[in-house]
Amino acid sequence: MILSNDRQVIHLVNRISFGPSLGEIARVQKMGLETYLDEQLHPEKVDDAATEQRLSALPTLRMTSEELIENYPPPRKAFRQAQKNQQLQQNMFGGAAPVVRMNSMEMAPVQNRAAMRAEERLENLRGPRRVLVELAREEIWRAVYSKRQLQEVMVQFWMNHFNIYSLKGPDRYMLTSFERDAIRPHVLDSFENLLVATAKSPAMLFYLDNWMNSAPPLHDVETLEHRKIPDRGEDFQREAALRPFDGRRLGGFGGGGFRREAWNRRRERRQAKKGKNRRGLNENYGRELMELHTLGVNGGYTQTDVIEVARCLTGWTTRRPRQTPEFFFNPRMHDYGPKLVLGRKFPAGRGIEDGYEVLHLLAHHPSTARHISFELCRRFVADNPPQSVVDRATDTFQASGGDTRKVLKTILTSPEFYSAPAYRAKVKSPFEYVASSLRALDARTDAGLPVILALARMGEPMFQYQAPSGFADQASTWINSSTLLWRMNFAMMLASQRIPGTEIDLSNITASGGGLNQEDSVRGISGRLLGEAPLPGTEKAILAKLRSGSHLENVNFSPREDRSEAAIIAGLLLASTEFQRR
Amino acid sequence: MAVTRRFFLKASGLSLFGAGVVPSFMRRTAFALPGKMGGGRKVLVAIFQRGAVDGLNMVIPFGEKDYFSMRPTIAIPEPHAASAGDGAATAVDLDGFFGLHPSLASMQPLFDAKQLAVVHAVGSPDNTRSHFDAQDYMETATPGVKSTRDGWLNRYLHTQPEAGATPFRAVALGSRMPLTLAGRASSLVLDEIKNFRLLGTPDPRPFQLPTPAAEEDAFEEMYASSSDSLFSKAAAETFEAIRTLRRIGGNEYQPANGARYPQGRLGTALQQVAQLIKADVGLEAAFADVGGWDTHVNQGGVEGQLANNLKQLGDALAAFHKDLGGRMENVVVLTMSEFGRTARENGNRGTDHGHANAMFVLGGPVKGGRVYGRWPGLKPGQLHQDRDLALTTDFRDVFAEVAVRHLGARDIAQIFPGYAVSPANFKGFLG
Repeated sequence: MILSNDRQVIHLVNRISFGPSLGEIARVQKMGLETYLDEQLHPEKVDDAATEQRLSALPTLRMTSEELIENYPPPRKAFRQAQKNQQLQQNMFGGAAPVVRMNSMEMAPVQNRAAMRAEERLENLRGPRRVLVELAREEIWRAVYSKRQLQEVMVQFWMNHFNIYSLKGPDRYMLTSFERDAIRPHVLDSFENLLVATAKSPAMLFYLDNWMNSAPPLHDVETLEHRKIPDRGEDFQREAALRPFDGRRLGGFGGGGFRREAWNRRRERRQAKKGKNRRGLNENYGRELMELHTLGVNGGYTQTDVIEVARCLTGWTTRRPRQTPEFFFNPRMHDYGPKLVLGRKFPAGRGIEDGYEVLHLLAHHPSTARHISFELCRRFVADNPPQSVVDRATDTFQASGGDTRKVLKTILTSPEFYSAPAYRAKVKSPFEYVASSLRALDARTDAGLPVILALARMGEPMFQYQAPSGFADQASTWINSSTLLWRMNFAMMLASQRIPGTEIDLSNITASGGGLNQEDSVRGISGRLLGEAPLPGTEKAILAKLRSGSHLENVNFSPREDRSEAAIIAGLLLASTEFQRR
Repeated sequence: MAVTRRFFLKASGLSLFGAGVVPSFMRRTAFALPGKMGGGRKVLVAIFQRGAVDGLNMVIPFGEKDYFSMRPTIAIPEPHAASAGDGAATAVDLDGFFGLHPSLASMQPLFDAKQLAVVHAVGSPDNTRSHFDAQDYMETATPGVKSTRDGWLNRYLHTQPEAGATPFRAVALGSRMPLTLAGRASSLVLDEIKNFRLLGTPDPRPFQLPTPAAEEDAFEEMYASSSDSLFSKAAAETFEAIRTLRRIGGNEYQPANGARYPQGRLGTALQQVAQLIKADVGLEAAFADVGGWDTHVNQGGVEGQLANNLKQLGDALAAFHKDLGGRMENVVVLTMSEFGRTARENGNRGTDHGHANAMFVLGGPVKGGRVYGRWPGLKPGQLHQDRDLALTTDFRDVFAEVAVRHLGARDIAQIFPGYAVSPANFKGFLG
């Protein structure tokens, strides 16, 4: 059964955006589904200057990873720095310097949090926490305010597909660049471009350990020729000096290089005996690259393939990840032998090309086409999408060489997409739920800590999913007795103006003039929030609530809180099963 | 179903409540309560020490000479050490070979009363030194396998469903669902009993029952009348939990027997667990975690970072034990950590990531007063990769012994996929 025209509009807006903003449904109805889809598939043609303007308030977004490390040191380091400065000042001025007091449990200056306003708390964040909070705020702001909605939906999709746990060591400083430089530019173009960008990003190289992935060292070999490393004119001494495990030690340049090299070998031998820092093949990235990023767990690869892929990617590393993360190819780490990956022979003697070629092979493999197409159908159609649309999407993927835009067009114009079983079939993730609530109410939000914390309570702490698999995109991931409580709380707090840093104006969704009976009030607000009337059960519960008048009983709320009828209706509608689905 | 003692106790009806009020959920659910006061329902409390606690300074092998030379600045002096001055703290002697860190002194009476056991040189066969990989492997009980999405305790819960289970059968303390309890069976995530409510009511005044939020009925009715069963089922549990917790959490909680929980994450968590156990809400599995154990730098010896954290651990466990009193006969507390730490101290007066570790098992059913597990030694040839305490017991054997002998788990193969569990490998701390 095909959806009515009205529902088709609601459906498409719900699926390719973070939910309708005020007036969006009407706008799409006027321009037509095809034009709207085309507009969103070409975000470069959509003017989004206002969003960029808003984001200019977050300085970390424009910095390189190195700059972030430099400018936002962890509190302990900053404290030691401050102590040193204090010591210096005391020595210079004889003890009249201000004292930096430390809370021994937290290693951060003690602050009276209750006294702070929302903005002050954001301003006073320090160190990597500041970096990650600004990144979270960017994602939330873009989801709520950007006009390039499908682009933002795809940024979230790919960030989850290529999930990186932010709290693994220096990854906390590298995620900003990952989102901006690896993911964002490629969300709608070729999958291979996206894959290669993630493979070269220091964030991924560190997270999945490929920066340590190297051919086993040959301790008794002294020359490059013996090692059969082709002389490409790379700077031998510089490369030798830049070793992945010496995060703190600066390499030796110039004449010291040779002796440094011999010293390095002796040190490696000693450490290898102790089992420390065993330099050698690291399969971690090779495995996840196939299992999660491309072919899928049933994509038809073997353990031998994992090893061979890892061999191809030896040498793909980063300069000192804790100081100056930056991709570079280290020929000294590369395994130049011949390889056999998924039946394809890779001749010996090739360097960085091995990596590019294996990524190309994986990006265009039929299993990858199926895997990615399935995930996209899961995101846009249903938790268990009909095989027919998955098959068609797979065909488009293969025919187009992995063009995401074309695959999306196939999915989003398919009869399966516009079928009744797909309508409001997906449960919104916490991020989608929060963003759609803020959009529906045209909220003014600082996307600050209360919002970020709400996401965590609902089960989606930003950038903190530990495994590379990311969150599973299905209903059971999101709904349990505790997360549902926090969804209800969020809905209620938002509707009654009790989220610090976020404001709504209910007159946006209530009919002007007033004087409506309660049923029409409910239908009117529902029209604004859901695009249509609520389900009978929902409407009944809301009306029963309004009639009981009990919302006026609790007189202990502050003047800022809104307990009006509209707030109650809005809160209940936002928590309704209809609004929790898309 | 075989008429086991457990089944009989559940089927025999309501427990004795004394002067209390019968909670309303009791009228709706059958088999919900134990058969006698404080008895019948077995409870497991799993405590995860995240960050890899230094087992060698937590349960010190002072009988091992090498221990002292490997840790020149952070070793804990042996009991009656001549080197320790008068009144200086030393390891608390357990059995002449092992001792407790002095900060765990509050656990010594539990060991002497044979309620506390230690399993040493236990851990994961996987060699990863990545915290989060190793934690995932331990929580899913599938070392080396990254694709497992559910936890071992969740698999126990859903392979052994309970008729008439309340929303409190499994509770995770904190604000996130831990992997150990993630999966098909539902668990409640609870940071504090008083916080699990619809916001918007004024905080309860002392010694008064909190009032429901004004919107509570409306939300409940809205979900109950929905045909969306995913939401209506979850919501039914949510509201049942809210109401039950309101009844428990209304008054200021007074721990029994003069027990005093230390301030901090673990103390708070264990106090909530104790409240839930005493309120007979149907708790079977509780999970809490505590961090701060990753002591690479300045670990400290008798005093310092590790000592402070151990004091909280010991005091919280001792308080929990004291608070529950006779109810401990059905409760087992199990501590765990993703891996241990290096045998030798490093250049920063700390320790790095290691391999095998020590676990505590505490409770009435425990055959305490012993250190279980085969001790591999710390001499040069006996270490793992020449740096760590070697492993002689797979952690899954400890988990399985608790699951089988305490919780009564039957479908062990599903709970520990890919691992052949055999009672012959149980250490015997549960008889």
